[in-house]
Amino acid sequence: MMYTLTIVSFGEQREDATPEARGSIVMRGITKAYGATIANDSVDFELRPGEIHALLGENGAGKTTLMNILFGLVAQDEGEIVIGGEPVRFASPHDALARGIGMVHQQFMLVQNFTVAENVVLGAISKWNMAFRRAEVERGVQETAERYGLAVVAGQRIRELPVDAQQRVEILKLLYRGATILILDEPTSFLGPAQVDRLFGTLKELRDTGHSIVIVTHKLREVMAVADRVTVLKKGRNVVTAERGSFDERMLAVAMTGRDLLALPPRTKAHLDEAALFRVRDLVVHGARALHAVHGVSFDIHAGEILGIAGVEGNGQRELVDSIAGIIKVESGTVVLDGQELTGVSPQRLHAAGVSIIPEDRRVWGLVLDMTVAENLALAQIPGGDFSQRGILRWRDVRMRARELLELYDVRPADPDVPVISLSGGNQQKVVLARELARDPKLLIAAHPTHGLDVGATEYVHRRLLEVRESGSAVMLVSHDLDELLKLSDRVLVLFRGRVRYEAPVSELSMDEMAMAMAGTGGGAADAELAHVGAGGDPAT
Amino acid sequence: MDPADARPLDEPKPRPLTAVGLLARGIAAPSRDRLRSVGWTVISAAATAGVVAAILALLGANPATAFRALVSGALGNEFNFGQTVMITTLLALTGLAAAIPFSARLWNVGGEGQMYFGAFCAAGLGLTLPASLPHWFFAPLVLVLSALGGAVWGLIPGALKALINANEVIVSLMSVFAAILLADYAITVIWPQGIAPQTQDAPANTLLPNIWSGTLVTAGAPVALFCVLVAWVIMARTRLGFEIRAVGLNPFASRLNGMRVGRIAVYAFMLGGAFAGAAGAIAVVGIYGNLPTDFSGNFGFLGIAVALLARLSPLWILPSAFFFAILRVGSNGLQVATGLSPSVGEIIVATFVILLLAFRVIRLRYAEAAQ
Amino acid sequence: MSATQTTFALGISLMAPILWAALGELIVEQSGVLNIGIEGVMLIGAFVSAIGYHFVGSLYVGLLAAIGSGLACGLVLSILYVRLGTDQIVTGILFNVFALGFTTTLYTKYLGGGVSNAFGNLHIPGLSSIPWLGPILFDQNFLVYAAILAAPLVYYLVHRTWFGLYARAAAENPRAVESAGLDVWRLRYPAVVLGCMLTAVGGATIVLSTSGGFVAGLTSGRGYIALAVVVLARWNPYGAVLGSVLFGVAEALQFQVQNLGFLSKIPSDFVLMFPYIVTVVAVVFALGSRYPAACGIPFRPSAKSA
Repeated sequence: MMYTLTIVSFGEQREDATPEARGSIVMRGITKAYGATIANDSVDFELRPGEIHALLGENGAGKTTLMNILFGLVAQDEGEIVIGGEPVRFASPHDALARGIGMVHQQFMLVQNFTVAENVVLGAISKWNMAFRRAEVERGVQETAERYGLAVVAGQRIRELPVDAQQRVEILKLLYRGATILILDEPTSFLGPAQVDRLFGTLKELRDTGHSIVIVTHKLREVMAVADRVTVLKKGRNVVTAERGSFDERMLAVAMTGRDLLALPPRTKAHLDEAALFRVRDLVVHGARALHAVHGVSFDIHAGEILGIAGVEGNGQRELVDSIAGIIKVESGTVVLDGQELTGVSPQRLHAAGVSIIPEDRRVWGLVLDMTVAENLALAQIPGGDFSQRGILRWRDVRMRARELLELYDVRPADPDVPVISLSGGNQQKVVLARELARDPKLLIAAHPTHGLDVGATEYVHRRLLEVRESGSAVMLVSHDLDELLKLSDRVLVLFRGRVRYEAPVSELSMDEMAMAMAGTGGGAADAELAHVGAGGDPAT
Repeated sequence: MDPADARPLDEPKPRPLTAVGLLARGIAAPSRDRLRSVGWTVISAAATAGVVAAILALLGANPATAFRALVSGALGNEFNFGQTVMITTLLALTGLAAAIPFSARLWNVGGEGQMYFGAFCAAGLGLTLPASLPHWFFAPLVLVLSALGGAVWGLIPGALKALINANEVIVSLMSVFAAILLADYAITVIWPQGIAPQTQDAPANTLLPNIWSGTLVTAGAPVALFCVLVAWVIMARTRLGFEIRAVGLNPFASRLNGMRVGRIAVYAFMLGGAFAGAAGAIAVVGIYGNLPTDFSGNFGFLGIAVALLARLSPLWILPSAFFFAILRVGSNGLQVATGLSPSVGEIIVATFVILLLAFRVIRLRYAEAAQ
Repeated sequence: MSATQTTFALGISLMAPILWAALGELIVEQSGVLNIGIEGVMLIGAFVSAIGYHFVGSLYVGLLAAIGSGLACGLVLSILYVRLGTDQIVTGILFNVFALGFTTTLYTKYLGGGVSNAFGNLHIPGLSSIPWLGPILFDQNFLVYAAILAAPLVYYLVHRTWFGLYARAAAENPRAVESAGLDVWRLRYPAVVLGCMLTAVGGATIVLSTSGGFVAGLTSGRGYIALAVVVLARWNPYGAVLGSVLFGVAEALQFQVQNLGFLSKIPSDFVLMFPYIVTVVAVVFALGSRYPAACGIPFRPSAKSA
């Protein structure tokens, strides 16, 4: 099982030159603890000039913490950072930026109401007393964008841009300030395959013009595609650092997880011969922004079937889920579950009709973090009138039920009385699963159910979703993670700009067509639309 | 790694959960932190007392003299103590008027107006309903209807918030000024009492009986106690209370789990308004016997301080109200001893609470949850 | 002058305090802080200007003293709101209670019943003789003109300077500002202090525009009305001018009731209620006017929160 390839761990470099002499950024012995949890345990990391360095690890391995330390957002407890032989200590991102280090966070740091140019110059000019000349600034930003081949329009507002264009703005922000070291935290989370290729193309060009780039990721394929070197973290510690040529997917998987690649679980056939359990017809929803609307989406889900909904972030997935969930208004169309029309009904009636939802962001939509586990497990039942007798709640029953569920869903600690905020992300999600699955839903809507979970918890969630499918319910699974979609779904549907662009059973799926559908290419009409919006295409050049 | 995800699993101590335990959790920190937090509280309280003393000194009063005058003004004899009890009554009710909407993350800063409107209703009902109604029926009727009046006044910001998401801070503040002018209209135009700035006296069989001879303590005090217990039951033991807390801590998850956020906002505001309205009624039929101009020493606003010091927990409202009543009534004693206006009470109370906020002794749980 | 003209002329002059306060609040809110304590700052500004005049005898000293008091209030409030991150709504309300107690106590002690003096009206030659409009707009005291001229300056500050750009970003997404290497706190401190100074001038304007002097609780909700004006104006300084005029005129009605036939039957208490009712209506009509995304939420820098 152990791979003993030419792994070059830090400290035994093949070259004669020291890291300092190469002008590298060196992080040595970095340790950072949050309470009792150690995020980084004496981690070493070297970034050489002009390389793309992948920082690989599972969720919770401490990758982001390490990079936040390098960017001055978080202060390390121990360890040193040396740049070109000189020890540095960053008190804030300001100091890091002054050293040419910039970071693109997984969650973009953009002011939605501002234009591209306004976002790009944010913080780049420190003469506060000067007048802000919009036209001049926009011209400068546009020139910089063109110099680096980044397709953005300086005068557009961020909230009108699709997610890949927003990412280009983030990169442009750093380049405009002259950053030569770019840290990208999970840059492909919200991108489709075509956009990932394009991003990697940009990164390689930047590397060739002398920039150093760190990609924080948990996806092996990306490391293989773009990295010159890779450092693997596991549970806050270094595992290996290896150069291109001396690593492969399998070896990295073992290094990252301590196990070999996982096999797909077995499954039964869906009841495709029967009438569809859940039907959506011509659903139209006006999103908060024009880009995010849903324009007449139709699909069926059969009993015992998982329908995967793929698409680049912000192509109507959230609005689709929210409108079915009764959170935002349905303009037209119908939603029918098991013969019962549920178009635009309240969450309470949805529950009664047998719909369960694992919402996109469990901390915002799933749980009341400051309430106890027991209270969260009863969150939907109490408004439905359960557990109360003439208006008085029976806490004893609430807690008894909670204890049962905690055991059934293996939540740790199995204590109904602790605030749910004290649980780990995986256990929080188990609380959501327990609440939503315990009522035996006919339809389960799961939006990004494994986002931010570690591998163990992710597997647990997958197993539960497949159980729901086996029990004969319909499952609608929305995810950015193509691997997850392909692993779990029976059928996959691609949303682009609020329309269904591709639909196929997983067994007959063409990856190319799917990638093209996600990018919105492959149809004349879509290209025209792209050019019009000017963000996905190359408007200026 | 998300630091919030990295919370250790063993931190909060599991504790058997009863209804009382459930409430206590809102009050007491886990025991390991308690010592540290007690120490911090002591330091903060000392610093706060120091700042208040400095302000008194700046105003030209000897802090020691002022302190003695304050304590004896509030607690020095039976009569003064009775005064403090009655102000505790009002502050406990206006404290509830703030605490319940605050629990739903709704800023009812209009308790003052809801109290004024309750007082207006009490005076008006007493003077217009037939005076022949029996005492046992008339007095409670006035109380209940005035509380309803307060609820209606609270309904204005609550309903506008629920229907069109109107800023409840501005609307509830405006309702304060409107209610004060309405009370003024009652005093000067509808039921004037000669030249005195007050309405005609309420009929004797609307008045709450004195229950402690030698003082001005009336049945209003036990009524407030009862209200506190009702509020506690609502918040800890009913579906509505649960929903109010859930919406306050996370409106999004509450909504997705089937709570009607708008309706809960209306109920929370009406509950708050009802308690403030009861305070106004008790002031009229339980303290003054009529509706005087400026009868409120900003009691509605001080209720916010009461609610905060009680950390929005209904049972802690009583000690908190008593504490602020001491400061407020005691400041009347300052006038004799130091020549300062009774308004000095507002300075003391506001400084006190602002500093406790600054020292993070008082915290709003959902405000932290947002970060 | 006709009664209507007098009402409008009075309305313009009564607009000035609200406009100063609204412009101040606008700057504060455009940096991401919600200053409910605006009422207290106004009250303190009014009181201090009266004290300044009372002891020195110069209106200008009164005005300068008020600006100084705004600076002091701004420093205190910015430490509370920004550095200590206390809840802004609660802190603001309590600050107002403090200000009411503070000014009332000192008023009884030092000022009791003292009258003030007022800045005289400046007739603007030519313009003031425009028929009908002239006497309304161009026969006012200098604090009124200054308030109107301050609007474009505030617009320039907020929308045409780097500071304004950064401050607005801090009001929308402070994390992004931090990530861009800027210090959110250092953007908010000056905004709160400057805003409070303008607000205090608003309070002083009430005292220095009439000879009535200071009385306890003088501002009677004008600060809160200014809060509504900012919402109604959708954070646009020019909109704030129009909004303030609306409230100035609503307030002016109380002095003109007896001259305006159609109003003379309404009891004075209800006429006095008018501005407050208009405020509620304005808030209702400002439907869809959204506070900057991070307005009112204390910001804690990442490096300091761990």
